[in-house]
Amino acid sequence: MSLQISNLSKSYGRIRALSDVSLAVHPGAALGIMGVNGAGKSTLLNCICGFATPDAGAIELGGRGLGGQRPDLVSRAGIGRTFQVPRSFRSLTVLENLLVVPSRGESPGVRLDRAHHALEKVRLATLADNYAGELSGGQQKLLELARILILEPKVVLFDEPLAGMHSDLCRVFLDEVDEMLSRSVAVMLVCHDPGILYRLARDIVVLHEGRVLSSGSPAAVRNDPAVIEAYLGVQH
Amino acid sequence: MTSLMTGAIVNAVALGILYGLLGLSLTIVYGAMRIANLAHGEMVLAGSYVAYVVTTKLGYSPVVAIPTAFVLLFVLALALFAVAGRRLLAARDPEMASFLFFYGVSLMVASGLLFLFDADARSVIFQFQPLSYRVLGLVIPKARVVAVGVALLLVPALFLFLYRTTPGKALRAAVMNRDALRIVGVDVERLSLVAFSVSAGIAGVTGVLLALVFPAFTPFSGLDYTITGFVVIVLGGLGSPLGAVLGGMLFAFSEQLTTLWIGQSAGVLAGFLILVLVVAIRPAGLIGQAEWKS
Repeated sequence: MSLQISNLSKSYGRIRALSDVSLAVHPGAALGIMGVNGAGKSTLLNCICGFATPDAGAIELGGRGLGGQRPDLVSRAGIGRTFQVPRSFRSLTVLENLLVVPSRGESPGVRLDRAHHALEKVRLATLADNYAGELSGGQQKLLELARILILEPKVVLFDEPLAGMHSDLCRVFLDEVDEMLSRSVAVMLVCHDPGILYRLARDIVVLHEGRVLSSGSPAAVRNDPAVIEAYLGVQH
Repeated sequence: MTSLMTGAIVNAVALGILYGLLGLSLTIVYGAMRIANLAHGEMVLAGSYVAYVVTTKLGYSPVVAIPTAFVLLFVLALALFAVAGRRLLAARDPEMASFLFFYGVSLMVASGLLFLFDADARSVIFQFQPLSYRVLGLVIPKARVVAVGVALLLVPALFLFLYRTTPGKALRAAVMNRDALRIVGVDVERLSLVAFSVSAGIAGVTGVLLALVFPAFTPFSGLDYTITGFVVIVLGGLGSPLGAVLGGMLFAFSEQLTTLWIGQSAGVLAGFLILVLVVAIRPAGLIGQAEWKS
């Protein structure tokens, strides 16, 4: 199922955080979102997830409009998200963090099995009974990933998923993303690190001051003079 | 240990568990919704008046008043939430908006009770058989035993709900991070509705139990309960159920023992002095750091 963003705009007071942004994320493909601080990446994710209401434009999942819906309804529609700073429930156990995800009608035993399976996949099974607050930052990111696995969304939005993560944990994360892509999940990856995006993303959109500065294949974006200027400045 | 001291300790335990219950119901709604329910004391008081009507006016046992108060306050809270709950949650500053809104509600409830029952102090008139028990040389009224017994059933039941059921865990999760809960598909508004209604229902039951222990109340007694409730949850740690119970115990013990050693008026003062000390030393409350941990 594709996520289609059309002419999305959002302002906070006089600050135009997003201006006429259009992009699409397709099943089985990863779309990378690049941009310096203040480029509008977080606002874009917040608009998609329902934490911010767009001023104009459309957000469609499989042709169904999502703009302005509450985050829980966006989630139930099939969009999952992680946060740049992981948002775990610190005083619940690692396992309980997964069990608060609403049931989809399965029995408690099946839910428990699915939760354990998700923890095994992200290598947190041995920490199931620890409090989430006791995990390292990287492990908390993997816990968010496990929550995504439980939700089984059609589209996943990752916000700086590898920032500050140990290389071993990065590998676990990247393996899971590869598996998601093989299951035809659409992935949007917001990341500062061009190397990660060049490895994972089929296409990249570069945001700059709320606008789409460049888009296309990693090779095309890498060689786009506008991107080079925005990231490295102009050589006089 | 003198019989006076034993009596003070027994009283402190009885009051502590009731104060704990009062704080527990308040902390559920504050923790889950970040709503400062200034009308919580009036909800408790409404429970006391339910006990008054059920026993004194209708002649039933106070035990009948317990489910009656729960259901009545639960339904009233549902209606109140339908009117204002969603708007308060959506406010830019929910704490300030709810503070002002519930201050208005508290004044309305107090005025309504004044209109219905006049300003005179009311009591619940009932007779348990036997009237009292004699334990270790102390005479303990059966009404107090019943009140404490019900509270001792309710507190663990609430803990079981919060720590062993999925909705309870979701409520605790809402305290920790509402956005993370919403993004996994939990309807936080519906959860808040449950929290608010259950909190009001428990407040009503607490009112019945307090009416058994402190038989006289007026339409203006609500503010005292609100203040006690907030003191208890700040002492224990905002949003912490276990903290509410510990805070209730600490407040009751300081009040009762100071009353014994110094005098009645010093008893109330001692509770607030303890609050100032705890907040000065541990601003997050007794177990604020470990909030909502099992």
